[in-house]
Amino acid sequence: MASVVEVQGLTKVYRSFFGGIGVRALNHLDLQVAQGETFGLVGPNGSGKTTCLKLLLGLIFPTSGKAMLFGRRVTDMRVKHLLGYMPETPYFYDHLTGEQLLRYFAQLFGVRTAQQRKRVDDLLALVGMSERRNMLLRHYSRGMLQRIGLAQALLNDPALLILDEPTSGLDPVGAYQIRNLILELKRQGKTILFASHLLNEVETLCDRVGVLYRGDLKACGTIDELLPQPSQVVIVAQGLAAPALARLGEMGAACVPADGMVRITAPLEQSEQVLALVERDGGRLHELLRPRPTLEQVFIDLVRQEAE
Amino acid sequence: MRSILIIARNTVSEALSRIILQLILIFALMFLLLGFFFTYMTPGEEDKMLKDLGLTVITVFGLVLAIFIGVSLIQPEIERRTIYALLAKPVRRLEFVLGKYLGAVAVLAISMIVMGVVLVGALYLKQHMWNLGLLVALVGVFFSLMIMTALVMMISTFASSLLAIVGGFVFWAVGYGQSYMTQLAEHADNKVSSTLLQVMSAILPNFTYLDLRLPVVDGIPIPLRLLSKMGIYGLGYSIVVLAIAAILFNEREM
Repeated sequence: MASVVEVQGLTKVYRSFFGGIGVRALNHLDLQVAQGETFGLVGPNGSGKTTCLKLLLGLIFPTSGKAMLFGRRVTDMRVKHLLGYMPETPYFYDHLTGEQLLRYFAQLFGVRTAQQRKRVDDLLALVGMSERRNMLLRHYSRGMLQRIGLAQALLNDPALLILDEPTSGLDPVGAYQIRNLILELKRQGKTILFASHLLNEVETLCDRVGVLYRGDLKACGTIDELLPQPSQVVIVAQGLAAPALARLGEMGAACVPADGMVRITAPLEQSEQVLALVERDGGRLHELLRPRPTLEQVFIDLVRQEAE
Repeated sequence: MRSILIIARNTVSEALSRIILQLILIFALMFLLLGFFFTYMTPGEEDKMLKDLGLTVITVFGLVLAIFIGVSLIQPEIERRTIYALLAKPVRRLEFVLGKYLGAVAVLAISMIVMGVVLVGALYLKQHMWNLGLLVALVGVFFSLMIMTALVMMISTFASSLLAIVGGFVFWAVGYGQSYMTQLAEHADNKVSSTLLQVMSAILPNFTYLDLRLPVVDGIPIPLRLLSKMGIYGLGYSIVVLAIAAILFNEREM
């Protein structure tokens, strides 16, 4: 499948006015995002996520390496027509109302006057801002700005959406609605690249994830590739006497009694033997789990390793 | 061209919504009206006084307005990050610079028309005839404002708002003090200093070319061909400064 985003050896060093050593914000980043793919860039603050997005938007220039969108230079105007961008903290012209802002940007996209009203109406309805359309942006809450930020990114029905922390600052309901909207856009076949530090969000939405840390891409792949397979089994059982627990302990299982039940954690390869023992000793199986590490655990481990 | 006009229109609506700019304009009108009142204290010289005071007030407040508008064009867009979403749209950086400048010039034109109508109207009420020289002088002031806006905008493509404001006032002082620079060059101790001062004098803006206050006040007829000379200098200088601003902004990281 064709790459919509193509990044090769992208490096960005921020230097002071007088030169000097500078801060290496991004280090030889190689990245491809295929058409229709949802790619998440995760990393702690200062890891280079926003720098990467700014380079892709042509807001800053690479120290070395190259970034291409749709096979063209990022500053190519044909690329801008296919692109929708939602900034991290949407700051807009506060002398305009929500509707005026969308109309202003629609004009810049060359949307014809006759179609502007319908497009703006549809987008305001989509992000749930129809009722606040005539309110000045300076009176909008952070969540409202975030919604208008998403609406303006969709004005040109873009093939590629670049979202920087799309749900940051939103209440749980707002974040849920934006996530659903992104899922809908994903279903429509849009290519989505977004930066986030909300790992559960990335896990839910993304086909592939890249983990950035101090400007380096530490890991990149599908969620399945990044998360290790489960290595343990957790069995919650009821009615097991002390001798049975002792036998389980001898097998290497960890037993923790709680609320009249026992939570048994054992290596995955011993699951059948543990289950057989529970059954033989008169225990009633309540729950069987094969917990898989979350992206958050993988991420924390990675950051910890790097810090050490 | 379409993007330039759209950005210019937004710049006008943004500038007109700014309280500080409205206040500067209100103060200018207040000073003009107050000045008209004081002309009665100089019997026999009322018309002279009216023209002198009126043109001085319009020039001073116009330049203050130009500096504040010029400084609000680029740097606040970067500081408030409104430019991120804008430059992600199909807008070239050059179009952004030109659109912003065009919007600023439109705001200055509106302000000049408001102030000019009050001055020309007041003089008409006294003399019962239109003063063409005064109109030409007002056009000269407008060209000065165009140059000043372009200069402040150029500084703000690479420096902070504060530095752009300071730069604006320095250009103002230098631009109206060009005669002193010429005298200094003539009386310089050595050739190097003299040449340096002459080069600086040629590069820096010379607002005295566009300042017709003295001949207008003294009632000396102003030839209309002066208008085209002022136009060439004002527009030419502004275009050169704008080109430098566009080059600097093209290299600017957001």
